[in-house]
Amino acid sequence: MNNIEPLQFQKHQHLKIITERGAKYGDAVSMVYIVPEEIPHLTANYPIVLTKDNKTGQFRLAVLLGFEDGENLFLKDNQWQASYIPLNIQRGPFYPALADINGQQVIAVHIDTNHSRVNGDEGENLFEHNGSPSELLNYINTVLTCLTSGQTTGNDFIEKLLQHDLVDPLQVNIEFDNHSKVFLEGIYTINMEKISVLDKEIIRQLNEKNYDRYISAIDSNLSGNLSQLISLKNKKLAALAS
Amino acid sequence: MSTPIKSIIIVGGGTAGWITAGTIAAYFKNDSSQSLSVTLIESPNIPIIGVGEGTWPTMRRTLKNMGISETDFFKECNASFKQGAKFAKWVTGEEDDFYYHPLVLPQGFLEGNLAPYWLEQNNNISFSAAVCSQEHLCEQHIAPKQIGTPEYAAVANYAYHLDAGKFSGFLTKHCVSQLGVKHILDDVTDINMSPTGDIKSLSTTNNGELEGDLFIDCTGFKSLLIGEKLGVPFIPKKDTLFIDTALAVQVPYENEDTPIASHTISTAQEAGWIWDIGLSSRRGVGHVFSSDYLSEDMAHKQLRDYLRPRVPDIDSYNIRKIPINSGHRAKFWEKNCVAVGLSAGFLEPLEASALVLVELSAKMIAEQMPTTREAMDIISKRFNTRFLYRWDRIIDFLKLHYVLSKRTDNQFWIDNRDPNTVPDSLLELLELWKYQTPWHHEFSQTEEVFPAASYQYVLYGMGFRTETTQRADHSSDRNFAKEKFNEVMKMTNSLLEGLPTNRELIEKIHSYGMQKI
Ligand SMILES: Cc1cc2nc3c(=O)[nH]c(=O)nc-3n(C[C@H](O)[C@H](O)[C@H](O)COP(=O)(O)OP(=O)(O)OC[C@H]3O[C@@H](n4cnc5c(N)ncnc54)[C@H](O)[C@@H]3O)c2cc1C
Repeated sequence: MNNIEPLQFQKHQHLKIITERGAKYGDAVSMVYIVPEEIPHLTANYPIVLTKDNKTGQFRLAVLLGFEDGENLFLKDNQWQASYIPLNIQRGPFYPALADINGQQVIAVHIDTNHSRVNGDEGENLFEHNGSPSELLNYINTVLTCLTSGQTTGNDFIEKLLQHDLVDPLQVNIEFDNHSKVFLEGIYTINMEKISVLDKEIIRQLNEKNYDRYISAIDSNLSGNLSQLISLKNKKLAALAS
Repeated sequence: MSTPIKSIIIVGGGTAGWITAGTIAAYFKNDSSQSLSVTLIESPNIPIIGVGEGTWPTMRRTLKNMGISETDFFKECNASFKQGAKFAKWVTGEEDDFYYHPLVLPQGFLEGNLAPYWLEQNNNISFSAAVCSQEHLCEQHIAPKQIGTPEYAAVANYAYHLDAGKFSGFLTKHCVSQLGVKHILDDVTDINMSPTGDIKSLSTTNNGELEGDLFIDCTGFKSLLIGEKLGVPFIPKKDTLFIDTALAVQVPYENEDTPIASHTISTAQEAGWIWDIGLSSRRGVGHVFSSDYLSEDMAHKQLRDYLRPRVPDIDSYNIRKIPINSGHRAKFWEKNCVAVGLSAGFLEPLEASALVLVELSAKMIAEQMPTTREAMDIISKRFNTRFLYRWDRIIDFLKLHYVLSKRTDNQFWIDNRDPNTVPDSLLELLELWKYQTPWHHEFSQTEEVFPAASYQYVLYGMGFRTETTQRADHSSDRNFAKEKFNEVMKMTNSLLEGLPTNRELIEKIHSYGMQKI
C-alpha cells in the first residue's frame, strides 16, 4: 500500500533514497508514461506510443520498455541500458501535487514512504543538516516540475490529435526468434496519411505549438525503435535458452 | 413528369419523431445527389408520453449514425447499461424462479447450436448461464465494458436504459444544431388533402400552411395523420396480449452507492408484471396489468408492495396511469404518409420492442427513401410487408413468455395459455420445438427483431423441454459443445475480474468520458 504524504523537513529529514536502478525498486515495468518535452531525448531508444490510462480511459503518451507485464528490456540488474531514463522512472517514490501558497500555485513534493527506495540507512539524503534541500531533492523538484507542466502540454497535444482524428490503433503481431508470439494491444499511434491531408490552417495551429516536431519524432523513430526492442527481447530469449 | 421527394415533414417530437428526424437527416447529410429538407413540428401543448426507458443494442448504431457522442448521451440522458432482462416469477411465481434473456448470443452461435447439448446435460446450471457470461455479469451488477473501451464498442453486448424525458430534449438539440433539422413548435390543426388522396399540407396555428412531399406521423397514440385523417384501421391484439393499463412511477436509489442493475428486471404479478429499470440517477418502475383480471386498486397496491422494501415512503409518491391499447395499424405507410412510433401501434413493453421498431422504421425510410412520388408506392408496399412481419414476430415472442408460464394464481395466466389466444404461427413453432431446438431457419429475415437465440433463452429459461434426439449426433459437434461450455466458464471468470461495476463505469464516464477510438 502506498502512503503518500507531503514532504516536510521535520517529518522526513532522516529518510534516505536509494537511487540505483533495479527491479526491486519498481523499475521492472513494460511501459511508462512520458511528457512531450522528453520526446527529443527518447527518440534514440524508445518506441513512443499512445495508450489509454486504465483508470480513466484517457489517452497518454508512453514509451514501450518490454512486451509482457513487468518486462523492462532496458533494465539489466542494476543498470539501465540507455543514456536517457524517462522522468516517470526517475521520479521514483516522489509525486508532484499542486499546492496553493499565498495564492500562488506551486508544486509540492509528495513522497510515498512505503516505496522500496525509501528507508533510514541506505542511499542519499533528502535534506542538508540545516534543512535546505539536498542535491537529490533539488533534482527531484526539477523532474516533478517538468512532469507537471509536461502533463498539461501532453493533454493538449493529445486533445489536438484526437480532435483531428489522427490517432489510430497500432496493430502489431510480433514473432520472436524462438517462435513465441505477441500481439501488442492497447497501443495507438499517429496516422501520418491523415496528417498529410490536413487543412493548412490546422497544420499552422499544430506547428505553432511545435506539435509537428513531436509528431514526426514519434513517427519516424517508431519502427526502428520497435525493432531494437524486439532484438533486445531476442537476445534475452537466447540468453535464457542457452 | 415525375415528382421528386424533397421535403419531409415529421409531426410529433417524442422519441419516435426525433429518432426518425435524426436518422434521416444524418443519412442525407453528406449525400449531394438527393437534397432533402427535414422539418419536425411538435405541439407545445401536448406533452410527449415520457416513458419508454429500455432499449435494444440497435440503439448504439442508431445514436452513432446520428453522430452523437456516447459520452454526452450518458451524461445528458442519465443513461445506464442494459445487458438484457431478468424475468422473475414468470414460471412458478416462487421466490427462486427467474431466468435471463441476455443480449449476447450463445457462445459460438454462428457456428453451432449448443441447446441440444445443454438439454442433454440437464444439470443444475441455467441455459443462459451455461451458454454465455452475461447472466453472471448481471447478477453482480457488472458493466459490459471498461472505461478504456471506445464509445459504442462492447466487451459484452449492451443496450441502454435512458431517461425518456431527457432523451427527446437531447435529440432535439443534436438534430437541430448538428443535422440541420428544422424545428417548429406549433399545433397541427388540420390536414389538407390533394385530389389524389395524398396529404398536401398541414395547417398550423402560427406557422400557416406547411407543404411537404412525405409526412411522417409520430403523433403518438393520437395517430393524427395515418389513423384520424387517412383512416387506416387499427388491428387490436388484446385477444392475444391482455395487458391494457400501465401504472408508472419514478423512485430514487437508497443512497449514492446503491448498485445500478445492468439489466431490466421484469417481475410477474397476479395479472401482469412490473418493470424495474435502473438509470444512473433513479429507477423507473411500472406495473402493467390487465384490468379484466385485476382492479386498479389492487394493481396500485401490488406496485407499492413491490417498491416498499427499498422505498419505504412509497405511499407518498405519485403514480401515473397510462392506458395501453395493444395492437397496430393495418398498414404503416399509406399514400405519402408513414407512421413511426406509438402512432403505428403499441404492445406491452415486455421486451422493449417499441423503440427498436422506431429505429428500424427510421433506418428503412432513410435507406430506401423514394426519389420520386411515383416510386413511393412500391417502397411503401415493401415497408408494410416487412413491418407487418415484424409486428407479428414480436407478438409471437411476447406471447411466448405467457404461454410457457405455469402460474395458476389468477385466471389471467390460465387464459393466457388457452390456445385460442395464441397466434397460429406461434402454436406451430411450439410444436416444432418439441422435437428440435429453435435455429436460424425459423428466422430467416434480415434484421429479425428477435433471433433464434432469443427464443432459446426464453424457452429453456422457462423450462420448456425439447426431445434431444437430434438427427446427426456427430462427436465433432459434441466436442464443439464441450469446448464452448468451457470457453464460457473461462470468459466469465476473466470478465468478472476485468470489468468494473455498472455504477463505477457510469461515474467514470461522467468524470472522464469515453474515447472515440
Ligand atoms: C407504459 C409504457 C412503457 C414503455 N416502455 C418502453 C420500453 O421499455 N422500451 C421501449 O422501447 N418503448 C417503451 N414504450 C414505448 C415508448 O414510450 C414509445 O415508443 C416512445 O416513447 C415513442 O413515443 P412517440 O414519440 O411515438 O409518442 P409521444 O411521445 O406521445 O409523442 C407524440 C408527439 O406528437 C405531438 N403531437 C400530437 N398531436 C399533435 C398535433 N396536433 N400537432 C403537433 N404535434 C402533435 C406531441 O406534441 C408529441 O411531441 C413504453 C410505452 C408505455 C406506454
